[in-house]
Amino acid sequence: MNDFAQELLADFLEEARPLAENIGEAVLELEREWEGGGSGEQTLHRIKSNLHTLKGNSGMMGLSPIEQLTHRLEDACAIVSERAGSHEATTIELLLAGADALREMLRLAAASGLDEAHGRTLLDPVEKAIDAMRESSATAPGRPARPATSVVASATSAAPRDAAGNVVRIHYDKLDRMLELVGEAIVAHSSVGELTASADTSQFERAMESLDKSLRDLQQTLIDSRLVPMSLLFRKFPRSVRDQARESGKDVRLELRGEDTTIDKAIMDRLGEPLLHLVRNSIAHGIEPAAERTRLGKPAEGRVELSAEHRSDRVVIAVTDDGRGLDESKIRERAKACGLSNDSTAGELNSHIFLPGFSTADDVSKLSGRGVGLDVVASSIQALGGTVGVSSAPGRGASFRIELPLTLAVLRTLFVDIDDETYALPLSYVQESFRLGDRNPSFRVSPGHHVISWRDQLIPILDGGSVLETAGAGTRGFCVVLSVSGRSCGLLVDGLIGQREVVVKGLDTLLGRSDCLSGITVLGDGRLVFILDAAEIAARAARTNTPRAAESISGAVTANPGEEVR
Amino acid sequence: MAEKILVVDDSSFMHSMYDMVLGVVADREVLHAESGIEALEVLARTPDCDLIVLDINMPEMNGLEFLEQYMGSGFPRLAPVVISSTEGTEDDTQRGLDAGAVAYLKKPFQPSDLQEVVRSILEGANKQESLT
Repeated sequence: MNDFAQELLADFLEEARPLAENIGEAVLELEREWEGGGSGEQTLHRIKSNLHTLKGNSGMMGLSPIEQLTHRLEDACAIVSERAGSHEATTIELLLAGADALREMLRLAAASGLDEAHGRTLLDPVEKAIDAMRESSATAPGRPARPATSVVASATSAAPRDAAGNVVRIHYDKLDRMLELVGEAIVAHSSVGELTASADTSQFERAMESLDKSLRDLQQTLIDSRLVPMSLLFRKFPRSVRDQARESGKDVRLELRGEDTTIDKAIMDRLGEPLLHLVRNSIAHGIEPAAERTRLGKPAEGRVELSAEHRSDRVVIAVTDDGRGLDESKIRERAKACGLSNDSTAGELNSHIFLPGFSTADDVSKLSGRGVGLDVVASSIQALGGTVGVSSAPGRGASFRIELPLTLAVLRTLFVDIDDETYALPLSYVQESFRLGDRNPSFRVSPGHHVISWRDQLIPILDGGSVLETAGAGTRGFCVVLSVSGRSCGLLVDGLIGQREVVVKGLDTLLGRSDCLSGITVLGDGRLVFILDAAEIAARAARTNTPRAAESISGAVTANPGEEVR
Repeated sequence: MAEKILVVDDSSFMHSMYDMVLGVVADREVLHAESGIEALEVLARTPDCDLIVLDINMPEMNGLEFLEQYMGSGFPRLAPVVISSTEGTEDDTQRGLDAGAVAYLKKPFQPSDLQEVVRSILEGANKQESLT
């Protein structure tokens, strides 16, 4: 395919893919409107309009399977209009199957090419179904019944896929601004050059500041251009929820909140699978069947909420349901069976569900049949530099929380010194840092386990050197308080250097994995600095320190304030 | 003097296509409008537009409504309009011709068909001008 043709195809796909998505969403909307007794006229019109555009465009591109499919689906819509008042559930299934076939055709056109044979395979079932629909007499108008079997072979359930290719749309204004900033940076750069030549250091600082500012602004603008709204991902869920609810015979309503929240596209692309798993989990294990819910005095319709919001420089995404909550006794049992510590709080116990091998085999296969457990969700999220946690209220519901950095590319960090080496801590997890002194006495709980008093709490602390297994004997003069998923811990370091922005590179596996390192960055002077994995450090601190033990000595604190045990 | 062709269509893909087919001629400028309303704005700014390629099926203000407004707009000079129609919209196409469009082109069309129609209309218009 020559350049022109390739570019044209790219343009076609960029418009066609969102149109196909819109059609899918509109069909679900149509179903809801019909169920509510509405006519769905406007939504039907929207579907027809999108099909019409796709028909024309695909014809221009010579993609005749798509042209034929959209033409047939237009026919189907016309039949639906004629039979106004007769809202058959099989019609919805047909339109959904048509939308699925359309999406698949576009996928093929984008990947290897859409040949006639393949197009035929996708088109045939839809055509047959539409012919059947045309021949069948209209049923009495009324609320659509749940279909016992689908008329059309059920299409693959829509798993959230990569949003619209590897492309971001960027506003011209942003590009202009970037060009402006590059221009300013170039000017500042040449002043710096001149000043170095003339050795006039007085103006040097000002020129450097100006260069610095231009570059920062440019960087921020570029970062911002990578941000896309969560709605691009969220919009794929209503279909999955609907399908799964029907399959499992449950009544579930999906609510979306914070769809405008922006997130780095690179992160969002990898969020689909773990998020889908959590949603399916909520429906499969959380939401009770309608009859049971009514018995419990809950509304028959279960509620799953998918939400996203910004917190400082993180994004928090949550899947919350009003179902039965986690089965704490079962978890406790399982924890014992796995040989895990028994004297944990409910919160800590619940986080065990993210450990590999924790879910029993039949739990996992019931869910998705792919053998994907919550441990895979957890590691996927951790690979993105984020964390996942769960909170649950038995009988009332559960909430899974994912916390992610806003961008993969540039990280704001705190540079610290540990045993003569510099390390970077992601600033989003740093609550506070302070010099160790009498005001924060640290207490030994049991050999090797310490807690420290901070803001009227006792939090577990870890020695930086032992975490990194460095043999040095630096004096730990400072404590950095890290906060991960609501739990705090302290990391003892030798010194604080300051805040720095770094560009993150993943760790080469050849270096040998260390659990507490999450990445590496190269400084301007060529030095390599490791980035510490705040989540892993916090998890380690939590594992070796228990609040109960901390509580038992807080009595000792009030009795003997100021006592320090090393 | 450069020829100006205004393309009115709500599909960004079609605009790329029109650019590729029509815009490759030297001395020709392709203008774009994604809706009837935008088209009226562009035309108000561009009194010397030489030809309009018009899609009928657009949200908000469809092609026929635009045509009505344009024809009755009182602009000193009205450009010839070619309707880009799709199968199943023959009624609309006829209505467009009745409202004053000079030609129609049925999608999917070959690039050469489009070029042919455009060329013949522009040449016809030139001939007319040189006579006055």
